[in-house]
Amino acid sequence: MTQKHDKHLILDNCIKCSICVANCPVVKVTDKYAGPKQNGPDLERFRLDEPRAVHPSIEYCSNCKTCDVVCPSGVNVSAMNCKAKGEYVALHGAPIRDQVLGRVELICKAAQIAPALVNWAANVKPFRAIGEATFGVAADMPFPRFASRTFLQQYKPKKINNPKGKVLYYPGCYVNYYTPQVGLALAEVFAHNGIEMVVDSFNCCGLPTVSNGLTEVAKGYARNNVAKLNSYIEKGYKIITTCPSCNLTLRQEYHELFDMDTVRINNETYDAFEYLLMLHEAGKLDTRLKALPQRFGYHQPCHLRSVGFGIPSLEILRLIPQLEVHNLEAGCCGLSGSYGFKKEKYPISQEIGQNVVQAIQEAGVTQNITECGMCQLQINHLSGLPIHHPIQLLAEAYGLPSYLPK
Amino acid sequence: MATEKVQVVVVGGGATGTGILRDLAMRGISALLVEQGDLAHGTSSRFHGLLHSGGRYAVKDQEAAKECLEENMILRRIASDCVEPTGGLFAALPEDDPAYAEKWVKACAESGIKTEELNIKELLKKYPVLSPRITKAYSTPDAAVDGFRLLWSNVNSARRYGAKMVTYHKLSAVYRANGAITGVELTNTLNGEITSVECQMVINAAGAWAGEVAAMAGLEIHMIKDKGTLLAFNHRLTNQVVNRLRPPGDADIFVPHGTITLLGTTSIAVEDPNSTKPSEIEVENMLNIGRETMPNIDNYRIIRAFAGVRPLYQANKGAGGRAVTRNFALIDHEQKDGLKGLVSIVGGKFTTYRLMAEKTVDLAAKKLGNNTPCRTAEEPLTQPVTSEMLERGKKVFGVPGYKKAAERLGDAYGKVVEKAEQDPSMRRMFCECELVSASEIDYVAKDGDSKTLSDIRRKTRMGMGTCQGIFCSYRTLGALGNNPQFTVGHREFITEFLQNRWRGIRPVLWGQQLRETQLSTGIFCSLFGMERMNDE
Ligand SMILES: Cc1cc2nc3c(=O)[nH]c(=O)nc-3n(C[C@H](O)[C@H](O)[C@H](O)COP(=O)(O)OP(=O)(O)OC[C@H]3O[C@@H](n4cnc5c(N)ncnc54)[C@H](O)[C@@H]3O)c2cc1C
Ligand code: SF4
Ligand code: SF4
Repeated sequence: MTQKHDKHLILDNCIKCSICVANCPVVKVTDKYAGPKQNGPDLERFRLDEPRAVHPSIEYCSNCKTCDVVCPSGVNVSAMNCKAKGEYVALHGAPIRDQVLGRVELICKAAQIAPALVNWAANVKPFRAIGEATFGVAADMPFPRFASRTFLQQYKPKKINNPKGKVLYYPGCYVNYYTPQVGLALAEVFAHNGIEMVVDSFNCCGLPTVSNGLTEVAKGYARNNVAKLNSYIEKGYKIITTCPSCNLTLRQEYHELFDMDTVRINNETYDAFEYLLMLHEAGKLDTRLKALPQRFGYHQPCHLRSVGFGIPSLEILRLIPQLEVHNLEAGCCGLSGSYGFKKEKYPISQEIGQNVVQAIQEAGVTQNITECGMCQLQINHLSGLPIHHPIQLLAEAYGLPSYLPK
Repeated sequence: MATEKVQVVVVGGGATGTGILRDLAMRGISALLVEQGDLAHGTSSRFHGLLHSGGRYAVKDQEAAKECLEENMILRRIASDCVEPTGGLFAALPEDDPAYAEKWVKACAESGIKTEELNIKELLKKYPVLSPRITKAYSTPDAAVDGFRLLWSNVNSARRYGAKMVTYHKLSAVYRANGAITGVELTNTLNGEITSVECQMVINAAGAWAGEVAAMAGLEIHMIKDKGTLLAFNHRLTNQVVNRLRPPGDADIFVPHGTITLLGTTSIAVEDPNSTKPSEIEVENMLNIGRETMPNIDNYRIIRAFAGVRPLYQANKGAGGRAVTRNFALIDHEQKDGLKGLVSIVGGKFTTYRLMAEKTVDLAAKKLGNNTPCRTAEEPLTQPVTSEMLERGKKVFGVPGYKKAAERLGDAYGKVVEKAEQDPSMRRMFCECELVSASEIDYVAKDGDSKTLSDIRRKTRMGMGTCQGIFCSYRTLGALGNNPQFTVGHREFITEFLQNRWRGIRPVLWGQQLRETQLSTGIFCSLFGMERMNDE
């Protein structure tokens, strides 16, 4: 990937074919949104003269990045949209709700005072009804449950002699605060394969912040994260993520949105399975896996598709005897982070997700896997079925603690 | 055959003619403007859109420079909706004679044109598209002007003062009796119908066609018809006009214009004022010169090329091209040829159209015994749209959709916003490249002067953006069904519209524009099967 492109040249590449519009999951279910082409390359032309050019419907973009993936002309549509959203918010201000939802890191930190209490309150119906009426937070969308102890509180690095590799794990807010079991399972898998894994405290990657138009806040996070990540890269660490959205943000978005130089971070950052696949290709992965005679549906998160390294988890899981993973291939789940929590977007989000529900029914699976925490939340909400991170299946197949519910 | 009666018939719906119409009307002289095509059918929509500061002429002709500067300032005041005060810059490259730059700075100062030397490093940082070889650069008060909008503003203002205007009517004969004009014959160019108008005076403001019009009265005017081609880039390469700091030549000006940038021009003598076909060789030549100022020019997408014909007046035959005066000439045919009631105004520039109109109407008024002074330099052409209306527009059309619509629509903006407020389906952008809403198109289609899709295009800019009308053309036509003029003949409308677009695309058919055109061919020829429809 080259990072030295002239953004004006990219805008010239759009041939107005509207393929992005035809594939935008939001446009498919509502006519309230003018679509990726209008907000992206169309208005980008006007932004050369009027930096705040934006269509009033821009807030309907869920930042799923499907548009980028489908564009046959290499236009970075969603980055244009995100910047426009930032301008829109700078112009009109964001509702308090979005300012809160966009600052996942703050919510999570605050909740740490009493996670159990927050979990209880977060799903009490009358409270949610008030939340919807006052702040516009959809009452029917369940909040994820805070873990009693964060991943960083629980993780104890293991000393590994002659490690085959050393990595810094960037868990992201979701794993750290809601699903520490994912990070813990990863730690087991890495240790088992002789990989040294360290952790550190980072800022939120900033993706939810960007999606809510709080560009300046996100830029602050980006600066801190880039500096810290670089210091680890200098010491020879590879950066590992389990959340596709964090991966995408660290590798591509900082550059796209804030013009930061992230060539090195892009080269040195891997999705956990991407890294494991590399080990496997180098013959360094332990492939003595026990059979798991089970069926799972697999949902590919939009942001994983957007980073563009395929689906390494499926390739690794294929090594597990008797495990049957059915790729649902149903497109966006509709939640897109905080998007589906917004009262006016909840119905849109639920409707987009119907594709996934249908695919699950057609496949006849009763449990699913996906890398993204938010996708897990939505698919569980839509289908009522259990859902996990694929790394947990791998840990299970190694006979390691997998933190899967027994 | 209806007969109308006015004091003056003005021939030519260009900048000059519409300026004259307004001036006449404001002085209380009854007048009819006739235009053979749509308004701005001639050179006034086929030009560079540069509101000259005078800098270009300062060294060679200070009088012309001063005129430009003065009119530039007047137009910024009276037509702020039509002028983009971009400012300009003049940049010299190592191969340009430094002595010229010195002369130029001095001449500008003498003409009253404010220039300021710019820091090259800062300039390059601001506009990385400019050549790092630039040795000197100065700022000037150049601006961009929207010709079409200015013409309509003139006409709308004139109509408020009681003047009349008909488009698609060609002056086809001049009636004279006893050495004086008595009336004219008009031919409707859409249906061939003939009408006549009684008048005391004809003002010939037919631009490059002035010779043809004079010939109808049996007289001769020597015009040099000088074709100039322009290239439209897909986006604003800079936010200022960029001139080359050397004696004026081909392809030495870039004008940012709304969403696009125009590079021009060439200069080729032609016989026929309708010779507006841009050629590939002209495009190539211009890119060769433009590349000196903007080295990466080939990477930027060109959406079309188009050409106009400069009406250059030649008092004595001989000199041609750029050496001929850009100043205008007012010809009193009573004095020159002994024909009472005919006045011709020829030559000039868009920038000085108002002054040309003022001088012409001074003469005409004197002949008609009217001594009301000219007020066109003081009274604004349009009333500014209220900020309350702008805010309301922002909610339905977004930024900068509301602003663009307000600039285009002027006084009619309120109605268009109201309609969109009442009916959300009217907020949809029919032309997404240029941000033209369904509401605006609907309004324009019903304004009484819109006969073809191209008329709507000119008034709204629909189809003038990146896609060059691929999507908005059929979308619009489909929605225009409730307008009597658009209920039949859809295929002809689309064909005429697209052929006009493709005429401009053909000479620049490469890169992304080629892909765009492939898509367009696919949609119209295959999907719509237009290629298979036979002409019965
Ligand atoms: C390539 C190019 C670039 C230019 N750039 C600039 C610039 O940047 N700045 C600037 O100030 N000037 C510029 N000019 C010059 C400027 O455009 C012209 O001087 C100006 O537009 C002429 O206006 P007009 O009204 O005299 O003529 P036109 O606009 O040509 O109007 C004459 C009208 O008369 C109509 N007509 C003719 N015969 C008849 C008939 N028999 N019956 C009815 N109607 C008839 C025609 O259809 C036409 O619409 C440029 C010119 C060219 C060619
Ligand atoms: S952004 Fe890409 S997909 Fe969308 S219209 Fe332009 S070229 Fe087509
Ligand atoms: S990011 Fe997703 S929701 Fe937003 S415009 Fe692109 S495809 Fe549509």
